[in-house]
Amino acid sequence: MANLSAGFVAQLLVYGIFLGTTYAAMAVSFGLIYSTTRTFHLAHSITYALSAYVMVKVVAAGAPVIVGALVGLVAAMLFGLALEYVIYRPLRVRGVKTAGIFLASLGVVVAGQALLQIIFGPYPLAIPRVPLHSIQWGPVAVSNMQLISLGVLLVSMVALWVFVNKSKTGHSITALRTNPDLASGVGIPVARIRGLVFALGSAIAAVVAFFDAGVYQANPNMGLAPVLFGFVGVFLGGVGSLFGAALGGFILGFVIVMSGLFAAQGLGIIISFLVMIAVLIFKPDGLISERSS
Amino acid sequence: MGENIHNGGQGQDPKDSGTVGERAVSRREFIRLAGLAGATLTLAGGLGGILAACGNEPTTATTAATAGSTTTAVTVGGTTTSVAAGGYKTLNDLFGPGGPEAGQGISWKHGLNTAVTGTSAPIGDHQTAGVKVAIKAIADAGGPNIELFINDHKGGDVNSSVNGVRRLITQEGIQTLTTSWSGCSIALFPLLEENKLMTYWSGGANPAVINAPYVWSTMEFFAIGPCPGSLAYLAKTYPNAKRLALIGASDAGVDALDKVAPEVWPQVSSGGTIVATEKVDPGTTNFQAIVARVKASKPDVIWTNVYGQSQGFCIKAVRLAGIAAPMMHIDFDVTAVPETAGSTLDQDNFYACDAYEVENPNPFNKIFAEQHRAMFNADSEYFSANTYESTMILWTCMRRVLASGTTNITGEALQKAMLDPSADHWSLFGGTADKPGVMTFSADHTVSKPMGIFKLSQQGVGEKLATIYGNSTKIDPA
Repeated sequence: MANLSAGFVAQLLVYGIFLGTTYAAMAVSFGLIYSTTRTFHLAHSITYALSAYVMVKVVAAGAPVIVGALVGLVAAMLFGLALEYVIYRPLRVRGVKTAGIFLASLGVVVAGQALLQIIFGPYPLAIPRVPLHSIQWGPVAVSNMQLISLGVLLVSMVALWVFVNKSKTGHSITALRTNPDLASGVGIPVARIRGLVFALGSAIAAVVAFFDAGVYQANPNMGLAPVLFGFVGVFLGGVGSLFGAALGGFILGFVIVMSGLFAAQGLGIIISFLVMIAVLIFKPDGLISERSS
Repeated sequence: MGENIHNGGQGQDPKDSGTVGERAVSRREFIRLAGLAGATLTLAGGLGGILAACGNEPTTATTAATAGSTTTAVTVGGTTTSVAAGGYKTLNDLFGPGGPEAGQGISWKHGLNTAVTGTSAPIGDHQTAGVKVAIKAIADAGGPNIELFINDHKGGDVNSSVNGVRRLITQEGIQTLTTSWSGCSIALFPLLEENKLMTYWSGGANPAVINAPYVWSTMEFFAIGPCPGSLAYLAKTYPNAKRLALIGASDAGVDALDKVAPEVWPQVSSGGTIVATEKVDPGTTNFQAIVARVKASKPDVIWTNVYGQSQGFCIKAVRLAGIAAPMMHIDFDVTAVPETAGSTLDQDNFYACDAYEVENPNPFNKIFAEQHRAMFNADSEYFSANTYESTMILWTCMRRVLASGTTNITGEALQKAMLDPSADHWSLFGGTADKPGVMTFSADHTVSKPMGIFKLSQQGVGEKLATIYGNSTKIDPA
């Protein structure tokens, strides 16, 4: 066990908050799409990676970093929309059920990763000119980008929650999530709302991808792990609740890091999944059920 | 000459099956989908690879100048070649003339087991390049016509490796193989022995290669070989350093963390201690918890065998956490790591290995570097150098078999030729402006190669700082 100094605990706490927030955002992005459309959108990982690559290329071409980020965000939204209109909707119309749509999404993942490697090459690419430096607060060190990501992701998630819960369109999303047939019956444009949630979920993923590729690198496989953690976070926190998804994702990331207090990193993931299993045993609907949310 | 790629013998595509009602997903369905998602990770993801090489100072070639002649007869590995005045300019100067005795007219099928996809694809790309350059160079020098068959082990996946190589053997009929990575290469041993397939382990070799039938390491053991010398260098360069932290991959080279470093560090550092040992799975990109634990241990120096792209994430995470301790590495992907680590690479990072220097004036290396540039319009680097070298070893052995009077080049004959008539082979590493480096094989299928300590920076491998030797704490000047 590592020396449990105050500095060590504080450093882990800070890292846990950062990773937890990242996974919370991914859970929200995945959960919004899943809970509204019932699409197990594993191809979300390709949206994630593609947006990162677009950001890399735009900035490398000379554009300011913020412009590259915005272009990548738009690219992600468009790609998410394209997946819904080109792949998922035609399958749904033909009566393909959840598992079949999942397999189609899986196919997009496998083909997408290969295609990304063919197009952009096998070598990782970082977003250039991202200002990055370490900030020391006593025994705790953080990077400027970690702080910025914390703020941006929190604002993004809050903005999404406000939109879904307070706006008319957001209420349509809620209606579609809770009762698709009735939503259609009362005139809610189901197809358009589905497209909207894909676009919004993809946008959140692109924000996470920006900080990933900005601090580290873009590579064809970068999206799979974040999406899977997001998926687990959704079920841990509660399907149907954006707040629940965020909570589930945050707990997952936080536990992974905080387990470093007493265990090697590899065990952190095991511990976090044990926590998830324990929660699901006692609360099968997740921490926050749709009813309570 | 051609290139064929096999996708590691993967099974059939999943078929759409079953129906699930349009409703909230049940726990059973969640578990089923989670299992499918887990299979996705295995199918679509790849995890890191391994490399290694280092060695003791090799025996040198003998040289005899014929009085009054304009050529010099040089013997390396029992093969005497005549070198024109002015030194080694061509491969024929090194390996001998082309023609039937060099295998001209022979069509040969050679396999390469590497990472074409996955997170370690950059390494596989370099390794493939090395073989391609060698194949063309050998043909141009009057050697055999070698056709390359590539299997994608996706960065170390055992199933992909075994199934794919089996297909290369049974369906493509490969006659020799270059393999890389650790576990997925070890998994091939029974298959290689069964088929008597001469195999060059040119990446991630570990002690499993000792006396393994038909498998020869062309690099020193990953992490274990350079560990003592690199620790000795740290102790000598930072004499006040007593607290050593270890960060390493949990697969290959783990003995360096568990056995070698704990034994060597107290000796070379005059009573130093190991204050942290953290292991990560291959392909790890999140080092936050590990870095926090290492930081809490207050190390003076850090030794790591994290490899592949993970290395860049590790270096960056360590430096962003405010840990300034010098770091010693034993692996370095010149493309992936600088891209990820960025300027944090400039902060006291060292590299212990047979670090490849593209500008090494070693004549063999000069030839290789020019050939690589001509073919790919890019500088050669470490991984391509190793597979180029191993392909040249194959050609050397083929020549030796032909010189023995037979055209039946079998696995047994090639294996015998590794040591007969000499265990020495030309190397791209070490050497001087006048003479190539030499690598020396042992009867137990291991090798000794020139090795050093190098400075790392965002520009890549820099100045050579010292010479070290495999499994030794001896340090000599650069």
